[in-house]
Parts: sequence; structure tokens; C-alpha cells
Amino acid sequence: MSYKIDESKQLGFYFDQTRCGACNACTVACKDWNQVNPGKAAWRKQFTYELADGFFPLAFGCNHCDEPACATVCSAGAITKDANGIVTVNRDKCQKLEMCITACPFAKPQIADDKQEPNPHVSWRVSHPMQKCNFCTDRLAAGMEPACVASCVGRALDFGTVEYIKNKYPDAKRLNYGDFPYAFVNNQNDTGPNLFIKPIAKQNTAGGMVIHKSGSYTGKRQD
Amino acid sequence: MGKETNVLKSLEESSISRRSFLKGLAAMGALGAVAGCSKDNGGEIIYGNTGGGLEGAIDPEDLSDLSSFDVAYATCPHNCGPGIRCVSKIWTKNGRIVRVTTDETKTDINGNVRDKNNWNDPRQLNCAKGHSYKYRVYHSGRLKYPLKQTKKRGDATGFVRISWQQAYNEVIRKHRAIYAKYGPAAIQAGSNNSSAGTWAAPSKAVSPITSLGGTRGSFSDHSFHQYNYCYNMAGLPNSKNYSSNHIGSQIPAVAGGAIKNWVSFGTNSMSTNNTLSYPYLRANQLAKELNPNFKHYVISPELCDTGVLNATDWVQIRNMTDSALIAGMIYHLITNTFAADGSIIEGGLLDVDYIDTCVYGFFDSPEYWLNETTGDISLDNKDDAGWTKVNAVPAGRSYAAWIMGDDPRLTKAMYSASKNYTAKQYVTKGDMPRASSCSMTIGGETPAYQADVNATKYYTKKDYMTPKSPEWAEKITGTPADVIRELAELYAKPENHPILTEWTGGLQKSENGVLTLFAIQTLFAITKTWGYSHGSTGGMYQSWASNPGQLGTAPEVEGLPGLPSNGKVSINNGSGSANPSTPAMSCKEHFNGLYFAFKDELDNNPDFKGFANPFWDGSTRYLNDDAGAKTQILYKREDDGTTYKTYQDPEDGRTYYDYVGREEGKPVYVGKRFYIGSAGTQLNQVANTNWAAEIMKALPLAGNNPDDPDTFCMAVFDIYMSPQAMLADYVFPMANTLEVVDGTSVGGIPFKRLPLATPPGEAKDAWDAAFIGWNEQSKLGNYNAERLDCAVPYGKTVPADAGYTYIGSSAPTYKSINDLYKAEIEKECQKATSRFYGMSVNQAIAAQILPKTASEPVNVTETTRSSLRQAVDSYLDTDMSVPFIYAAATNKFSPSVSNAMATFTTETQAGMPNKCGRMTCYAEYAVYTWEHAYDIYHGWLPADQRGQKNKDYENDPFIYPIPMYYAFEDTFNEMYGEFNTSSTKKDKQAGWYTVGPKPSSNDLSKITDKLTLTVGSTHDRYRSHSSQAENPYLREFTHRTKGGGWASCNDWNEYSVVPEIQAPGSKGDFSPMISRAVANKDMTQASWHEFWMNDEDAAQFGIKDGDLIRVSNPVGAIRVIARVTKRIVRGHGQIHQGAWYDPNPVDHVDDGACANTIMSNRPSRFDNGNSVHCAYCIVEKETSF
Repeated sequence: MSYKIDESKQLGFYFDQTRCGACNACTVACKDWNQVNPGKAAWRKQFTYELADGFFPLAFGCNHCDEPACATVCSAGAITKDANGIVTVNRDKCQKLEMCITACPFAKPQIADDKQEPNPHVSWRVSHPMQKCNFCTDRLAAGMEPACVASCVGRALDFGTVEYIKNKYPDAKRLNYGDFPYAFVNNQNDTGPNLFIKPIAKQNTAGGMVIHKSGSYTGKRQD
Repeated sequence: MGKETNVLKSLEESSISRRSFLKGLAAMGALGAVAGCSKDNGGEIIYGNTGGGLEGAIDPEDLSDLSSFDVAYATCPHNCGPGIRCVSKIWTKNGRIVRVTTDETKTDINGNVRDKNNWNDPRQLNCAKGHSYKYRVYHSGRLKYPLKQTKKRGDATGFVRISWQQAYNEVIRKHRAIYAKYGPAAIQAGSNNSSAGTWAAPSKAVSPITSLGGTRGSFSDHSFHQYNYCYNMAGLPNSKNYSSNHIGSQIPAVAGGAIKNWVSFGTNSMSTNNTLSYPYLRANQLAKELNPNFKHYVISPELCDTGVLNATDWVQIRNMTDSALIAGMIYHLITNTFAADGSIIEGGLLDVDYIDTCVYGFFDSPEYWLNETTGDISLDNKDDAGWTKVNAVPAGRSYAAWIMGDDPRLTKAMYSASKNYTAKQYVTKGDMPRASSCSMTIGGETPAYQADVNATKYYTKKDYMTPKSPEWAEKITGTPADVIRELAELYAKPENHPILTEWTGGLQKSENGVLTLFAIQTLFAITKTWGYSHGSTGGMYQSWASNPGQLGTAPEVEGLPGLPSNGKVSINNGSGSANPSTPAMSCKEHFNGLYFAFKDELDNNPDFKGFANPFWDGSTRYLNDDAGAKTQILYKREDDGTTYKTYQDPEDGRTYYDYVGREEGKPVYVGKRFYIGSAGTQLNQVANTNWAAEIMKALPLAGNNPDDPDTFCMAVFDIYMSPQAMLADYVFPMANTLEVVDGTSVGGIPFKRLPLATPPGEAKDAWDAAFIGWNEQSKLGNYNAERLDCAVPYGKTVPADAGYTYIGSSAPTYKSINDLYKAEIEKECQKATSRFYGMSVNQAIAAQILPKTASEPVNVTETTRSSLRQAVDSYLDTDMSVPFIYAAATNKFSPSVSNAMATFTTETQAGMPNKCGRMTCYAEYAVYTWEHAYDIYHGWLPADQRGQKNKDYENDPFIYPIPMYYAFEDTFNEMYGEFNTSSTKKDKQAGWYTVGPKPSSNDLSKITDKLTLTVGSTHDRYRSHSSQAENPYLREFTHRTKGGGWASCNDWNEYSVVPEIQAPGSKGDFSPMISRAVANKDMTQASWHEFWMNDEDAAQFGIKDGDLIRVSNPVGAIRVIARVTKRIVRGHGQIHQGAWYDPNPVDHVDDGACANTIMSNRPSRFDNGNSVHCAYCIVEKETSF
């Protein structure tokens, strides 16, 4: 076990928004490690969001929330939270009710299609049960970092117990709607996401970018 | 590890789990249909009946046990640049690649924990390209069999499978036939590789065919043509010194605070150079922490990812207008140096004495002679030894004269007001102003200050008399005038120095890219922002190399033996030379060479509809009066076979190279008749794909008669059915890098390995392929062809055992390189003295990798000045009453342009000021080079067509020697034919509208009812040029379905697969598409490339994010998905280069969205290079889908 892991304590991710170069190495490393074929289901995604006050890179997957809304709404009992806080889906139990997807503020539960997932398991009840980030438990068991953390070219990602993250990155903010509204695609509920973010400065604030905007251009020279 | 984890591993396309077998069987049937495997069609012939990537399936249940994998190091197989390759670890099971990870070491060799806050954390982590390599190896589009085209180029149903032996035999015969008749100049051997690594590189497999040598080379390349032409145009010191000036070497000085400010002209260094990205980012952060006033300006039409993280200021600017921005900056500096009455302002922004001493051509100046020993300047004629003549910068022709327009202050600023030595000498025969009114001509003769600006259609000329003020520049660039002034003062004030200025490839590869780069150099020269040992701004292309130099220390330990190299077959040349020389020419002239060679055939071919070259009337064999293109005839050689014969033209008395057919007045048109190589250099990577494809489709097939010297032949070595392979006569299926032995360093550490996977079908590594090729060459025997250009036949001897010789073996024992190298490693492991002693082969390979030792970064906190800069500064501290000879005597500043075009007749360049000991912004030698380029080859042409005309459509100079702004509207009017007004030209060009919608006017700036944008085509971080364009993991980041959001591309196994349909409306011209989903209009799976455009532009024209749109101009049209963003300036759009050309046979619109489909192949100004970042397009919603 890594020094950053305690079997009985909640695990979480750390993300430094000032270091994410939008390279998507983590996105591919995640799919590649977890054998997720090309296609719409992607356990983690990177996007540089555009707001009126700046550009905000963010790469994240399931936040293994303190109060996972996905698990609460799953009437099939397919989603559970482990001792170290990892939220896990048992795909054999999934009935594809998809309530978890809308309940999750971040829409992180994923459903593949026939093309992406051509070989259904006999143990599945439905063709494409929900799938999502499992914190690379197989890698953790082998003493490795999650695939996304290990691959991060900008050294923007870290993981560990929430205690470890708070100690090491005291300035990081827990993912919340007020500071990171673009992450909340389904609802604004506070589910206690275990993602801690060092934010990038907003435009025209200290340390933020200044944009010197060009004028409009009609496609015809202005004489 | 429980079941829950196992099921998550079950998704791989190839998995046939025992648990899932029953259900999976049905699904596999469906997949087989997807891959297109019925027996009687192109798909089965090309790819075989297994589809792609389905062999070697593993049981997903086994994935849970990590210890059951073989994990092998490999360098990232992707060669995206000249820096350190990233580290890949390839996880295989049962011989199949399952995963790719990267350097996950947490400690260095000494056990120190690596600190990710250090900018020199020495791990080289894979980007998305490296991580996604599994899908490049296992892909439905992999080539498996040698193919020969039997119907028509581009018709996938015309391919038949042939043996490797037949393929080599026929291509070698064709090569011999063409070589004999047209000489080596007709042959182009491509140097680009679709796959990196010595024995994966097709160049090795090509070598048995091109061994006769002397093929047509090219100067420069598609990436750096303009830079290589003009990097020294202003004569700045160290302007091409990668090792001391590249961005990587500047990192310590950024991180340490020695560099005070950073300006990026359009660069996206973090994306272009992944290995550089982390040090770049961290150093930038550290500089901001150290110095609260540190600025990093990103001046660009696009806020790229590097800009989002690093910029303190995004200065928005319209594409291709940087030289106008710089002109506005310099106007501000001039007007804050000279008062309205011409007097010099005390403490002004420019150091006028320095400029007089060190910069030629900024102001007007008289003709003079420079004493090379004493530095004396004399206006008296000193045509004797020891003196160098320096031409006048004529009145009203200097850079400052153009900048001032009708602002009269410099006409009142007299040299006599300055006391420096140079200025004093200039006025020894009478005073003169620093700049007269702009005298550039309008209408051929009339100087601008007398001309009617309404007499010209050129916006450039209409502006001659306009002061190039920040307000003028704002109109052109969109950049606010106040920001232009701010930037000017940033550069002018010494307290802001050193400034690290980087620029990117996007500034060049544009029609006027040379002018832009020249303008940046000029800015450095006149603001004295050069000559720092760290943080140098003297260099130009500063983001080239990616090795920051301090990325840890590789342990010095014994390595494994080197890879076997080839035996290099010896071929004797009876004519005395193995490599008869052939003139090199611009990279893009190879492309034009096809029309040069086959003009008559094409013009008489009714299938050849016309040219997507609206600027060109088709009456000549070459575009744009291109001097390099005019060297493509057969010249007579001396009997040594290497040197050309010459003759004296009786009319002009000048000496020219003699040519075959001179007596009869019938030159032999060589052009390009044979291409062999890989990658996309003949189609995807050259401007105007429609034109290239149309020509190749119209020419008869090579395979009809392999001994016929008069048919074009294209032989492509590739790993995919890429667009170029689709148009080939012969296709050779090659192994991927991971399927061959490799000897590329891993993260900077020497590394060799055995193959990690098996090539599919009959695909081969270059070792196996070359063996077959050489055997076929041997069977054809010696080469004793007569030749037209020389009395001595070629007479080359081909050894009977060439195949064995090449692989360093003896007949009849053939050993694959894999077996040979494995034996080498085994031998090493048995050596008692080796550190690999006692290891297995795999253990020995793994043992090569020892983590680099991390070290504390050595930051540079203060910059130092170069000796030249110190000498200049010392001189400026004196009263400057004596000559400054230091730089002139040792030729420290020696401005020049590439000499690749400088093959002149006997005239000299007397008076060209490239040895006057000064930098320059008046590059007269560049104009001379233009006018005389290659003219020694041009004896076959009428006198007025030799060299290159320096005339535009109104009879004014096409190029001037100053770094002026050339209006992009003029550029596009030249490209799209607006300036061609003769009726014959219009008739000739009727065909070019077939590639796109017909605009209401050729002059696109007059179309006001549609959204028109300039379009650039920068690199994409999810491809390396056109490599990996097919990779589905990466296509997700660049492609979307119609209306789809992030990564909604869903065309896995739909791309690089030939659809088995006859597209409706294709009129019997079977031109199948690479994307099956698009061809079938399957909207759940069809995806298109993103096109980035401004949100306000989009809103104004009713375009929403995710809309399918068409981007078109008179050259071509592409179909793309709108990515609506604030990160693009108004009036501009971005399509990343490298997507595969995939024209829809119904409407000819390129659904693959190869950027070059909308790029004109009009050569760029000054250098005749490629201007592939340079289009002007109508952007509108697509109605066809």
C-alpha cells in the first residue's frame, strides 16, 4: 500500500488548475488502462471551460463523494461505497435505470453503446450496464498510482486520503458550485465530492490573464 | 480484486471472454460486417477476411493479474520532434499489446524521491499520442498485403494482391526505365516516414529501388521552408543557433528570473513539444512568482492551450497581420524619437546613433565604400582592394520611409543633426534627410507620393502614403492601438530586457511569412534586444528543440550491443559517379513537377477537368513563374556524369547549363515521374489536395507496362490505407514501430529492444522487405542503360548476392533481424564481464533502463551579454567620433538568405550590403536572389522568362527588400484569381468551381452576405502531421458527430475502411471514402473535424456550436463541425492540419477536412515555399447532411 493510502480513510483526488495543459494524456491513459474502447463512455474527461471571466481547464471523473447521489438513487443496489470511500458499481447488478446519471451533479456515470461495447457479458442483466471510475483499485493494490495521476504531464494531479490532500495542498478548494460552476452539469447539489482543486486566477484579477480584445471584423476591409 | 473489477475490463473490442462467449458470438458477427469483409470487394482484397485488429484476442479475465503481463519499455513510437522521446511501457499478454503506460518511477537511481515541483523533474511522460498507441497497432485500416492498382488511381476496387517479389520487381523495372530516359532528376524518394525507427522506416525498404542514386532532392521542408530561407535575413547574431537559442535552453533563465519578459508570437510550445511542456509551464510560473512585473504576452489569433496557462496578456491579432503590428510599434518609436520638426527628442525611445552604426536600411542612406580594415566610410568611389561597396538605400525606399508614409517628420530629420561617425560620413557630400517620402511605385513607374491611390487594386499600395501609426495598425490587426504602443515600449526600454521572444511555425508557411519573420528580426535589431547569452532574443525560431538540458543525468553504464545495420550494397557506376548531381529545389516544386512532366497528356485528357489554381492560367508548365520549377528539364552532363555542360547564349552572352534538345528547340521535360516513399508528402501534406489528386487520377497507371518510361509511378510504403496509399500504383504494407526491433533512446537513455508485437498479414519490417527488394534487383542484373544527357552509359553493377549483402549475411542463410539481434543479446548475457551476465533476454532489455538522477535545477538569475553586444555597447558609450570596425572587420553581422536558390549566371552581387558589418532591414540581396534564382538553368526559356519576374499584376515590384506588411486581401486576390482579368484565363479556370460552391465574386472580400474568415492550419496535438489521424482514441478529441458535444466522435472501425458502396451521383468514377460512416450518412457514427471559430462571428451568422458547416473558397471545400469559442479572434477560423483527405464523391467536399484542401499552392513570396497556413473562406451551415 502506498504511504498515501489508509484502508479506512476516504480517498480523493487533487487537481491543480494552473498546471493542466489540456493534453488529455489522463483521459487516454484512463481509457487504455481500464480497457474502455473508443466511444462515448469516458470515465474522465478534460475540458477547458469558457466563462465570461476566464478559461478554466478541468479534468476529472467520479469524485467518490461523501454522499454519492448515484448510490442513493440506484434502486438496483448496484452502487456501493467502500471503506476507503471508493464508490463502486457492480455491473452485474445494474438494470440500466440511468437514475444515477442524472442524480450525479457531474454526470460521471457512463453508458456505452453497442459499438463501444460489442461483447456483453453473460452475467450482465442489461446490454450496457453503467460504468465509471473505480479509482484504479487494481493499480492501488499493486502500489501504483491511479492511471490518470501517473500519466499527468503537467504534474497537476495527485491523490491520497483527504487528510493527506488537505495537509499537502492547504490552498486547494473542495469542488463546489460557487467556485467551479462549469463542473455541475446536472444539478448544483453538494454531494461532498472528494476532488480538491487549486484554482486558476480569473481574468483581470491578481495573477489572471488580461485579454486585449480585437475589434469586430466583417470580412470586408474597412476603408 | 473481485468480479466487479473484472467486468470493467471486459470492453476490449477483441475480447472473446469465455464467460461472454455465447453473447459475444453474435456481436462478433456484427463487428465482421462493420469491418466490411465480403469476398468480392476492395475491402476484402485490401484488409483480408479478418477485418482489422481482431487477431490475438485475449481473455479479459486474465487482465486482473497484473503480474501476468509482460511489461517492456519502449520509446514512444511517435517521432513528433527532435527532442527527447517520451517513455512508454508496453504491457503485453500472449503477444498482444493491451496497455501503454509511461514513466511511473517515483525515485531516481540514488533513491531520491522525485519532486514534481521542480521544472527539471526528469520523467518524460507520454502525451495522449503515446498512450493511445494500441489502436495504432491494432486497427482495421492496417495494410496487410502488397497491392497493385489495376483500374484507376484512387479506385479501391482496382487493387489486386501481388507478392512482395512482384511488387519490387515491377517497381524496380519502372524505376530503371524512367531513370534511363529522364535521368535521376525524374525520381523523388520521399524522406518522410509513416513509422519511426531504423527498421520500421520505409526509407530502408525503399533503398533497393533507389540505389541508383542522384534522385531529386529538395531544400528545406514543409515545416521550416520560410524560416530556413530567411532566418538570417536581418543578420542578427545567432539567429539559427538552436543549441544556444532554442526555448529549452532558456528555461533555466526563465525559472531563475534572468528573463524579464516573454513574448510569444502565436506559439503553442507546450502542445507542439510535449517533452518540453512541463519545464516550460513551471519556469513560467516561477518567473511570475519571482517578479510581479513579469509579463508573458501571447500575440495570436488563437488562445491556444499554452496561452491559457502561461499568458499574462493575450493580445488578439488577426491572422497574418503581425508585420503590420510591428510597423505600428515602430511608428510609435519613431514619433517618440523625432519631433514633428525632425529634431531628435532627448531621451527618445530609439537609439538613433546605434541604428546609424549597426542597422542598414532603416533610414535612407547614400552609396558608400567601407574600408574593411579601418572601418572608414567614404562616399568616394573606392573600387580597390580592401574596400567594400555598399549600395544606397534610395530616397523613400527605406523601411522608415514606408512606415512614415506622408508623415513628413523624417523628411525634416537631417543626418547632419547626428554626431556619430556614420552619420557624419553620410553627409560629406551634402546633407540628406533620414527618409524621403515613400517612393515605392504604383502602376509601374509613378512613385507613391505622386500617384493616385485609386489607380491600384492593391490595398498594400493604397496604404503606401498612410502613416503606419498604431491606429492604422489597429485597423489591420484588430489589436488596440494602446496595446501596440505598450508593446513598442516594452521592446524599446532597456529596463525590460532581456525579452524572450518565441515565434512559431504558424507565422511562416503563409504567403507572406518571410516578411513577418523579417519584421520580427528587424524589431530586435532596431530595439537592441539581441546579444544576451541567456534569454537571447536574437534567435528566431526559439521553440524548436525540446530538451531543456537539465532533465536529469543518465547513468553511465554499459549498454546492449548496437542494432545490426545494413551491409550497404556496393554499386559501381561506370560513368564515374555513384550520385550524379541533380539540382535541389523547393519542397513544393516536387508537387508541381507532375504537371511539368505530363502537361501534354493532362491537357489532352478529357477526364482532367481543370485546375484548382485560380491564380494560374495553365499556359505554362509551372506555377507562378517559379524559378525552381523551371529547372525540371534534362541537362547535358560531362562524361563524368556529375557536372553539367555549359554554353554561351549568343544573344545575351551569358553562360547557361546546356540541355538535351537545344539544337532542335525541344527540351526534354523531366518534371517528376516517379515517387517512392511514405507518409503524406504527395497529397495530404501539400497545399491543394484536389489538384494533386485530380492529376494523379488522370494519369495512366504505372502497372500497365512496368517497362514503359512514360507513365507516372507512385509506390507507397505505409502501414495504413492512407489517402496517399489510396492513390498509389503499388502499396507495400509495412510493420509498425512496435513490431520491429528498435534502437531509439528512451527518455534520453540509449535503449534497444526486440519487437513487441507481430506485423499483421504479410506486412514486413524494412529488413525483410529490403532483402526481397535487393534479390529482385539482382535478378534484373546489371544496369547498363544508354543515356540522353551524357555519352557514357549509366553502367551500374548489381551484385548477384545483393540481398544477402544488404543484410550482412551469406547465401543461402537468411536470418531475420529479430533472430540476429536476439542472438546478440544472448551472447551479451553469456559474457562473464557484462553487466547483463546471467540475465534472460527480456531481463537484459529491461535492465537498460535506469532512472535518471534528478538534480536541483540550476537556475540562471542574471543574463550576460555576448562579446559582440559588449563591443557595441562600449562603442555607444564613446563619443562615436571614430569608426566602429569591430563587427565589420570580423563580419559579425552577415545578413543573408538561403543560398539554395542562389544558382545564378555570371553576374555578381556587387554592392549587396551583406558584408557591411551591420544588420539590415533592407534586404537587397533577397530581391536579387528572387530575380536571378536558378537562372543558370533557364537557357531553354526566352530571355524575358529567365530568373523570376519581380512584377505584380500591375507591373510594380512583387517584392521589396523591406519587412513591410503585405495586405492579406491582396494575397488572397492573387491566390483566387481576382487580379487575373484576361478572358482566356477565366475560360481556362472554369473547372475550379467544381470543387466547391460558386462564390458570387472571385474577390471574396466583396462577398458581404456570407461569413468570410481567414483560416489558419496549425499543428494538432493529437496527431503528428497526418500520422495518428486514424487513431480512434485521438480522433475523439478532434472529431464530433453533428450536434455532438465533447469527444462525441464515434467512428471507431469506420475510419480507414473502404466502404463497399458505389456512392450515388459519383458518375461511375468510383472514389470510395475512407470514412464508411460519412459515406453511408450514418449520423450516429459519422464524425467530422472541429473547426474553431469566434463566438460573436458565429452568433451573427446563426451558427451554433456543434453545427455541421462548410468552409470553402475557390481552391476547395471542407465539411467540419463548428467549435464556437472565445479563444479565436473575430474574422478568423482554425482548422488543424493533418486530417486525412477524404473527398465526398457526390459533391467533392472533403469530409476528411484535410486543411490543405482549402490551401492554395501558390508559392510564398520571396522563398517559393509552401503557404499552407493561409486561406480565406466562406463559412456557412451545411445543408447536405
